[in-house]
Amino acid sequence: MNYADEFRDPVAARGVLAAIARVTDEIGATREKPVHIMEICGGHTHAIFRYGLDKLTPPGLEFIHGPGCPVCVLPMSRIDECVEIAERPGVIMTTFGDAMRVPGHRKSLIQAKADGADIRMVYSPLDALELARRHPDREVVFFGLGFETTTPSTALTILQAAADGQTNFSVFCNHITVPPPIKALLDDPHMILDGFVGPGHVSMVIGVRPYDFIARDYGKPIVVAGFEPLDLLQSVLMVLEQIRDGRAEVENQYSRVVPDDGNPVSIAACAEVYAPRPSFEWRGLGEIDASGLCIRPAYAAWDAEVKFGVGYGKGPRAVAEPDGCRCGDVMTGRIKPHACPQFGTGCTPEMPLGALMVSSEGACAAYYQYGGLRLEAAL
Amino acid sequence: MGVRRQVNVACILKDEPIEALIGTWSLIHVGFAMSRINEEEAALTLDILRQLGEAQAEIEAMRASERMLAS
Amino acid sequence: MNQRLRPPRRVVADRVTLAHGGGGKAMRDLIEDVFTSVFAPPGMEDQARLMHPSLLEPGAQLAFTTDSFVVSPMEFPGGDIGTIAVCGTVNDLAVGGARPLWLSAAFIIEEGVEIATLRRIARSMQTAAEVAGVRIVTGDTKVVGRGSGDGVFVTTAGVGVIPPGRDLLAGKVRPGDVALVNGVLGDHGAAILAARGDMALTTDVVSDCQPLNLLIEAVLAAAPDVRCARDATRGGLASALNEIADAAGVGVVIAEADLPLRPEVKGVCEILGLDPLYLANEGTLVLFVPPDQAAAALAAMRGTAAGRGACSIGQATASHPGTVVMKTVFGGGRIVDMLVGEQLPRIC
Ligand code: SF4
Repeated sequence: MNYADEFRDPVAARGVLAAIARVTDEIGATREKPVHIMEICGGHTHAIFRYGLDKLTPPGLEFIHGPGCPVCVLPMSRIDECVEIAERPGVIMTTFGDAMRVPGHRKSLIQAKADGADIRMVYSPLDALELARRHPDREVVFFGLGFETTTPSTALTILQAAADGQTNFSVFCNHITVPPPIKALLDDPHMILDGFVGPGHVSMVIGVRPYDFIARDYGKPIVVAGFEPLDLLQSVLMVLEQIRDGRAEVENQYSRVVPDDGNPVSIAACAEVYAPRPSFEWRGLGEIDASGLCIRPAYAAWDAEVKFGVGYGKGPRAVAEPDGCRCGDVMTGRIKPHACPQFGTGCTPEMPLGALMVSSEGACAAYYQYGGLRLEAAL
Repeated sequence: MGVRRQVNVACILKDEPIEALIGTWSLIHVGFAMSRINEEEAALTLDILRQLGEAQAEIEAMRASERMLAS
Repeated sequence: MNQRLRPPRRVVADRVTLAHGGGGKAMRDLIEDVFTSVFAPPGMEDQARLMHPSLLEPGAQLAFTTDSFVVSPMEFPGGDIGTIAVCGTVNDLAVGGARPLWLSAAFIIEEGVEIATLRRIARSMQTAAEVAGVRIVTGDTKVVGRGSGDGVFVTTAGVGVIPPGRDLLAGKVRPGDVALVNGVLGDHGAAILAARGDMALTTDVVSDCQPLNLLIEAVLAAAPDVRCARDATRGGLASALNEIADAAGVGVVIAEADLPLRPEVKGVCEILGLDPLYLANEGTLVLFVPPDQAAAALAAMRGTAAGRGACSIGQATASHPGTVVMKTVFGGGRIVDMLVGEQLPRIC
């Protein structure tokens, strides 16, 4: 038992898939009139393509790939600001690997590194703090990004730095929260979603209650899901059953990891360190109210925005995305990735134009890399 | 054995000595233990999944024997 | 090489300085003491004059290849830059069907490198050369100033002979051919990742770097119609398969359930969000065999030191030419594409 392999058992998968097909039928969904289920989290998008799950589910069920890839939704202006900090003399910029390729207006971090900036990949913000300890003569900045899953780790690292008096360490904070963009999607008049698969690792921190509004105010079912393929399939089944029964509830499939109330230590650390920003820009979605976090003044000494004077809103907030980019339409489910005129030509994983091509968790990149049209032709 | 990495356990430690964690499974994210795996809940979830799997296996077996009888 | 008229000199310094690249005595001492005395029989003459009976066989072909090696860290579990500099070039010759005979070795050494490190690298090269049955017969050293290099860069070139009638070519793969690998995937990539230390992960995985020429000879003896072999180095198995699919105009289907992976390598990949299909190998190859010779090829591989873990992983098909598809453990499918740039850890 390691709580992962058991959730990859193909025999059980056949059972869940059969049940999914049955319930999809009972709903009366067909290829022409499918039910639309959004997996919010990029980790789920990745798992769907990684295991080829979309090829195993019935044609009456369509996955819409949500905005939950924190790397993909990073706006260009924030990359610009990150590059600007990284290029200051004496700075070591540290980042998670997948943020390296995100394009900015001028350049990505990978390009900035080639141009001479000292940019290093780390696995954990703690490794960045350790780097600061080892290089007292340098300014070590951690490019903090991610949803509620990653937010506490950055907060705890800042608290650690504060406790140690490690003043050559700071965080360039781009943490964002999941519920506001879901609300934005639900408020979209073109919205076609019938239900949601919720991000389990986010709920491991914040619990399941923050999604109550989805069921209560919008009448849509949501099931908080784990990340193994069986978790995902079971959650889809649970969403479909709710749709069939005319229910709209918040259910928790991932109860082995997600307590209903989340993780109190994490929540407390976040409340201590962060304050909500009035609004934050999401690539492909624009500015969303109260969707981003900044570091509270009490911890300004560890806030790279303060330290380097590049606060959010100081630079040009160019919401406009490149011409011909249809990221917004893909994210809201209006079109499939390959229907975007840029897909595979003006926009590829080598030279991403839009957000969804940046990380393999983005819907367009997953389509491009793992299948989509080419796979359909192949199978 | 395996892959080793130092992690921070502040988030999963309740009022107990750190030794209490020995032998427990936890979900690790970017160097932090974020949640202890609830073994009972895991078993319950797996049970449901297994039942679905077995039910399907039975249906498939039934269909196969029906086909045999029909032919 | 001529009989020595003077006793071999010793390098007394601890570290390489620019003087060791100056063309004078210090350089001569470095070359003789650190390199030529290790590469037995003494190599590193400026010009090697060579003859081998297999060259005289009618229809034999000369095979010639070169490769440069940079690896950080220079020493890692399971080998060092010297090991891969020899294995890499030996394997480049071997997968083309050549019997490797001679290598050259050129070193670009950054000022400040410890002499002891150079000695270990030279020793590893000689050990690997002995295992492969090749000789290092000529070479060169250059020293560059601190900051102009990164430790040691090694370039090896290799010469071998392809026996008459042998023609391994990716373009010859036909639908139905079976794909075999000689062992577990991704060990080198995982070992290097851990050894670099940036991710603060430790594992017991060691690099797979090893020469593959003996294995290929054994396979060809048992299964003479092997179509092609390809070592799955940079870009991993995925890149090797894509190159073959492209060259042959066939599709390739592999089964996820059949891929040999160590739990530790899977673990590293899961923690860092990497795909083991793209991790580098330094002693792992994939070969395509007609189906009726697959069992013989497999048995022959398993009889060699480098092939104990050999297994079949998939097949070439007539459908989807140029595309590699993996059947997932779930029965779903996904395309295994060429890698876009470097594989970056996907963490959040
Ligand atoms: S193909 Fe590129 S531009 Fe078009 S929607 Fe996808 S990411 Fe956006």
